[in-house]
Amino acid sequence: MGLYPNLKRVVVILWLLLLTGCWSSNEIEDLSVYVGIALDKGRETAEEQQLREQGATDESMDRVTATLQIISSKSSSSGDQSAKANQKPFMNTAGTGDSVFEIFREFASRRDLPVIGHHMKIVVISGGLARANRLDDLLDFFYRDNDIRPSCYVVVSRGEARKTLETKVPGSIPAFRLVGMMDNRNRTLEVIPAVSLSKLQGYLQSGTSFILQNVLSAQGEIKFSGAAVIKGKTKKLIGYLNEGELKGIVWLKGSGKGGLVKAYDRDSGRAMAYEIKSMKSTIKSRADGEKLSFDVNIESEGRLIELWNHANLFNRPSTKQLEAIFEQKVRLLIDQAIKKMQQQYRVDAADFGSHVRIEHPRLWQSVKKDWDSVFSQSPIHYKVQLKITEFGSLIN
Amino acid sequence: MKDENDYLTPVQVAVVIINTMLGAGILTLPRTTVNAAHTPDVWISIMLGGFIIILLGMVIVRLGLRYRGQTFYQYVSRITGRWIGAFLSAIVILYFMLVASYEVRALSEVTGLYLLEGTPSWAIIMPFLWVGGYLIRGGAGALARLCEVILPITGIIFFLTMFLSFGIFDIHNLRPVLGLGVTPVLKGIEPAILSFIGFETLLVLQAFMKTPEKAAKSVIVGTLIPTAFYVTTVVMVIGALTVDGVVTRTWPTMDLIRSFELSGLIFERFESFLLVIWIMQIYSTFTVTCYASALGIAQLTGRNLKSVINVLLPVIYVLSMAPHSLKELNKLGDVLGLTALCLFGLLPPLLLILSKWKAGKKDGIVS
Repeated sequence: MGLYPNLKRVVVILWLLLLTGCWSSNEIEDLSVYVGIALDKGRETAEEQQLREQGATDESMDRVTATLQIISSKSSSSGDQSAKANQKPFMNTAGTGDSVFEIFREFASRRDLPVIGHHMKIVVISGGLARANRLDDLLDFFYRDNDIRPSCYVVVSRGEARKTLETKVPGSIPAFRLVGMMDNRNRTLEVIPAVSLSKLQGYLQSGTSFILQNVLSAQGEIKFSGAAVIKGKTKKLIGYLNEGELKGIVWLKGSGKGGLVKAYDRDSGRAMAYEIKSMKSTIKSRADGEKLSFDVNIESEGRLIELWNHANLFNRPSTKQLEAIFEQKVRLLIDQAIKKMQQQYRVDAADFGSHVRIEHPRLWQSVKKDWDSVFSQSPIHYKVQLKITEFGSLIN
Repeated sequence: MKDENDYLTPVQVAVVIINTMLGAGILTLPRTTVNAAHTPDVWISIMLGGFIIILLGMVIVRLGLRYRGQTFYQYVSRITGRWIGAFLSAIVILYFMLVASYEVRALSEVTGLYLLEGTPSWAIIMPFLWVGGYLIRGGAGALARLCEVILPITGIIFFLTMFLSFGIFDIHNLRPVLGLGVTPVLKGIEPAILSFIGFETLLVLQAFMKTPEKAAKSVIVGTLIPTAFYVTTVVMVIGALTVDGVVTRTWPTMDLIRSFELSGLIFERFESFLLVIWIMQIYSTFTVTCYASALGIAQLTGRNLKSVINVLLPVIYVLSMAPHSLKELNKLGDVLGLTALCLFGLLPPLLLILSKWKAGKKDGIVS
């Protein structure tokens, strides 16, 4: 140190060079951020076909077409107002192949800005694809990738998945719209709890059957309607539940956050509606040796929100009668759902298995391997009790 | 002579033990325990594991009390004789060295995956080693004071991020409790104990205490707080990801935090918070073990601590680069844990008995 009195200072100053920047930083303007993906059965897009005809080789078997919804960063930057208004804030672009990762990396040779998945919010899988392929195969890449977060949601589309990522509303981003619709559970029973990649992995690993929200699309409009049933053993889609059957399952599980029951008056045939304020279901599993059965007790409170019955004002059904009508409607929904699960698909799509797992853990060890078929032979007894606690701003 | 600052208070010792225990394990614990037990009851395993660790720690305290102001490296040869003592010290030194390199490598793996993709691992590890080396040149006092600073930060951020995941928490995933009896719980104890490795630093730390009698309290507090961290982690992770979902994830705790987004707050995602405190914990574990190892070498060879550190850091760097893959790294972690269990579960009681027996014999001669 005596020889070089300034050495320390020089070293300290050299250290500053290390502070000049992040090693692996990427400017956001130089990236394509995708927010949603639609997976369809492999069909080459027109551009891809033309590219191939011009000599782009592709030896994959065209199993999957992935459509990426990319947020365009250019639209948010400067530009004159009119042009901006006409420009869509997103862009859908598709690739075909038999490895999802390969499709993604293929975009590197098709566009200047590499695509990144940090902000991916939703995966839409087309029903046909899910019928033909195991979900754990389809989603394997998303689970392994370190960009894509397991908080990303998964839904199924009975039609073409890529259509659900389209919109006619200028300025709106379809992927965000899909995610936003999942928050509407306090308004309708048709939206079931969102299934994220991490939740889905729990299902796939445990081998239970489950349902995924189904999305329909028509001319840029979309609708959550019913659900797709995934069989735990094959991890493939085996069918759909329509809206009524899905509502039946929601009632069975008592998982609804809000919504309505619509029924018709027996005499006049006019509509009446019950707005659900609370919904609760207690499921008890009973084991009699190897034979299992379920007791379900469903209770709900709500308000009478609409009644088309002003013609015979003095001969209105009593509250008790109204409750009975609504209860019967709910029972109808539940019956449909049970029939579909136990007789047609023969799978447990309403998570009855977890009640056995919790209440009869030892028995569960022996039945869990073949749970779906055990379930379809287990009788389900249920009671429905609806209570009209108020009539809105009208007195009765 | 030592001045007041070179002594450690019982609180400081507890804090250092906590910081040493919390390390790479916190990100993998849900997986390792569930893999062994296959039931959601692993939180009970962790509590039992903590209890066992307290017992093991007590033995070390008793041993240390017989040789006040001396580290393990100094008193072991007084118990077993010079050569065996040197051999045992060498094993312990090597063990601490390997733990230090294991932690460093785990750091580079996780930050490389989630934080600094593209940054070469040497660029992550080297500054880390330098900063660590700089700290331990200050000795045990500096080490303890740093631990005191980062522990509260760790605690606040950790529990905050964990409880933010409450939105995806489902109590049903943790039921039934003891559904398959106690056997799975017992199976889960072994991996649970491995996450408590760190209590053995007491072999060195107790020598720096003015009142080594209070080390027992430090051990109890120093184990209970990590137990709280671990139980929270396992409960929240299993509650959100389910038993079956946990076993396939490499870093399940990271995936828990990555599994939710909160809109409306300033921050939407919290994994970087978890990573920040985790890196701090890796840093403290690394510095403590590195210090323990360096001190051993210094005391064994009679060399200056600072020059030992200068030689030790490159060695640790090389060792940390030795595992070829994550799989090998995990294997190294398991082997280290088992070694630690055997080494610090069996050796201190043996030494204690031997030391008492020797003392008894001496007394016999005198009387």
